[in-house]
Amino acid sequence: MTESWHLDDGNGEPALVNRILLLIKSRPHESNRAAEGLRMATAMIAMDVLPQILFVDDGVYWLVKTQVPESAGGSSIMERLKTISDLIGVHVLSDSLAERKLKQEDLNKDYNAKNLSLDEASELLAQNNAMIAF
Amino acid sequence: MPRLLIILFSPPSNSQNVDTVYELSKAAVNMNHEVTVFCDIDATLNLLARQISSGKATPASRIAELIKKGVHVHACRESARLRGIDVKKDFVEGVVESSLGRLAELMEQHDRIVAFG
Repeated sequence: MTESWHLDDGNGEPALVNRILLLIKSRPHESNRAAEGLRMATAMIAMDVLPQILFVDDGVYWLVKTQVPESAGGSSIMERLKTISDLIGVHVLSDSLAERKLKQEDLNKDYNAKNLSLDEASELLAQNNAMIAF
Repeated sequence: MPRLLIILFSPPSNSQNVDTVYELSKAAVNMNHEVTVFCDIDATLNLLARQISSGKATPASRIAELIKKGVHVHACRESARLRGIDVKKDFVEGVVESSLGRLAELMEQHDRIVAFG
């Protein structure tokens, strides 16, 4: 580990130590994992530790406008997700959408998810020091 | 001292993640790293003191061993509550009652973060 993470950023202020990517890959009705990821995102935002969020694989179904996870006993995260997307934005992997025959118009516009190509997603991964998958 | 944060999501007996966290933490402590293990959602079930059985290595006994070695073990209070665990009585001695807000702070205070689960 590099001590430099704890040095100042040149302006006399402590540098941000870690950048965290939260990867949402579980589908809405599978488990509470993804909901926990968004709960974690909320806690991080509240503590001023701003994560980045990328929806991949079956996790993209969270963004589909017709999703009602609570109808199958799942957690409703729509309001939480809307708040998170307003505050820090969310990303979605285009390839995961294409593999599931989902189009941009299938997604809930309230989330304003930014589509990323695989190259852009790789870049996002590289920008973060740690990734936590849900 | 380098600081390692491990976030564990897996319950006991569902995978080898607890074993991996145990071995990784032990190795890191032996290399003079400061280690914190944060147990979230089902991983809080690894911390139940009643799962310690003499002469048998269980996830709980391994967690107890890590605590004795100086590893800081945190448990998400809300995850425990939702699983019917009394955080004041049920956990292995030395487990710190914690929260996702505290986890966010820990993320900033540690040099490396790995997640299992």
